[in-house]
Amino acid sequence: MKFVKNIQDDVHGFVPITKIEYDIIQLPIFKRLQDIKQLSLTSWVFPGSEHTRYSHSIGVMHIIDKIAIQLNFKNKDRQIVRLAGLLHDIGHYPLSHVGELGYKNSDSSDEFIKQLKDFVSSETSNVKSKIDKLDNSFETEFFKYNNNIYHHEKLSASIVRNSAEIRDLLKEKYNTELSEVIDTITSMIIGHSYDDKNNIKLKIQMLHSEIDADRLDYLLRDSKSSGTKSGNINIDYLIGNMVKGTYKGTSILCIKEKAISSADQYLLSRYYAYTSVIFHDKVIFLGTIAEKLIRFCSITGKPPLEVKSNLKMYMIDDTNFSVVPDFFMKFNDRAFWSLIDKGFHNTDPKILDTIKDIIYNKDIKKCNDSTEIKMFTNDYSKFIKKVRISGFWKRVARKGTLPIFQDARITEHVPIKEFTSRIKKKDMEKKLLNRMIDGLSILKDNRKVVLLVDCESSLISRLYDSRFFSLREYNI
Amino acid sequence: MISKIIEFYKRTYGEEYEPKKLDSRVKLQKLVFYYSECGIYFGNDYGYEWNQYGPYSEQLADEMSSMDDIVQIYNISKDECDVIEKLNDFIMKRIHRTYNSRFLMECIVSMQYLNFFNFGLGKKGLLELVQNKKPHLNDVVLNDEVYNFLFEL
Repeated sequence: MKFVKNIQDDVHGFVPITKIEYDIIQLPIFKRLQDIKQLSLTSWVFPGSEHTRYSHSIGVMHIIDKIAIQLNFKNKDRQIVRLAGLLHDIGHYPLSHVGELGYKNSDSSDEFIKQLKDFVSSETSNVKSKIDKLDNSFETEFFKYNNNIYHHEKLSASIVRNSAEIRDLLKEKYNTELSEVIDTITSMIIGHSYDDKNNIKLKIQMLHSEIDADRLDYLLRDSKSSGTKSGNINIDYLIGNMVKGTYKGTSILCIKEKAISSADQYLLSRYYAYTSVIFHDKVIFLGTIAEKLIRFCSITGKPPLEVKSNLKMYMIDDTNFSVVPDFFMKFNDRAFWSLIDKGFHNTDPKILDTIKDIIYNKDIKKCNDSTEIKMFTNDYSKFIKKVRISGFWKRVARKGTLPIFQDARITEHVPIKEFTSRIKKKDMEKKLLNRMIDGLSILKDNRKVVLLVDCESSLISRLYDSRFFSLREYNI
Repeated sequence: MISKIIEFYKRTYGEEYEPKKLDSRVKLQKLVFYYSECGIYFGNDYGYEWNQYGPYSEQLADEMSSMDDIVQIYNISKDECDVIEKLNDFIMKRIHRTYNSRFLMECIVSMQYLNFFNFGLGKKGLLELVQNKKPHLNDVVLNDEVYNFLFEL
């Protein structure tokens, strides 16, 4: 591989880049990511968390290359997976996932709640229903195609397919192989393919599985910038122990058995990153409030966040755009803040001013024993019981406070016995393969491929069914 | 959001959803896939994979099989009505030809799916691929019309 420049990255040090990568990074559509913070409003609580999707994308490219080298990829494939890493977030929303939720989960038939008390009451009923329905069900759907056009991965893949600027650069390099390269990048970004041509399933795992370049980079980057150091894993040791295994004829990205402890540590670090930063009481509150504001703008078509129909028009298949649409270049965090700065029209619902006030001026009180219930348990009924005994709902109703509920697992996977005994038998072979593609796999010394959760020496095999719950109330 | 799916079904096909009939279930699967591509959200991120009848979501199938008998009424918005009318019109004008509504929908969403994962095939290439993957969808004129409906706006 011929590298033409180095980028100095605060997480990985020098990141060498090739010519095509340099050219892509120079494109306005890629530079747009400089204005989208990776952790949305987290920097209001953890001031160092100012990093963007731009630096993250470069980091993912760097890590995916380390994995490719470890798996003995040839230069051509190395370059393709590097490009997929670089481009995987190119369609991300203002305020990242906060913005995505505001767009994806809204449609024109939704009615935005205009009164504060109705908003609180609606959220209360949603949260209450979620907690009442808590059970020990687990994720069973892996390696699937989410075709919602507003999903950020679908948007990213659509941009790669439809942007003439990116396509021209790819065409210059790959010429007759352009279609094959774009298909590989598309599948890697989406996390799905319908066949295993050119070992595509292995490439997908490098960007889309329980241990992939995306997660490894954000774990390191988020924990470094937040200052929590919760993601302080030895990435070189982990990648140095990656190896290609085979499960029913399909190549699987595995960790060697001897590195099980490192694999455990990685999953635990990710769990801590969620519980200490992402689920921080103030971060969660600000994110929830900002999402409601974006949702309103999306539903009512309020400038400058009124882009839903434009997104649909430009991202739909085979809609080529030779120049990046102006609305999309401005579709970043600054659009959100300019909306807040400009304020709202007097015909807008009053609640918008309240939301603005909360984001800018509210002194958010730290949650304490009297305003939150937190628990890590594998007996969910204990949590439900504690919520009931505490009189939480009565208190929320009396005080008109806003409840917010979060839960997190260390892994989405369960041991194979539990998996096979609790899901429908139809297409079991395919389901088992998809489970292996998605999960953190271990190549045992006897060459057998199993999930980490099935390894008796793994801590995760004992903790897989435990979940962290937090239920908090906020004065608004 | 099952009520939304059921309302979309009724308006698109002009008939009630009958969960015991395979035809109905297949048509519902294809309907949700098609409308998701149009930006309609049904309350869940349904994950699809390529199956016997084209894109299929087991999660959607499970949700529909556990639906209550009494389904709430869903009020369609003006924008949604426009999207439904477009598909309904396309189907109704063709159901007395080679494909019934189920095969027509299978053709539509298979083409959407295969197109997304096969860049730059062009019209000829995509139509050939659909026929190759779905030999029973062999009405070339109708396949051509489906392509135009989807991609030649």
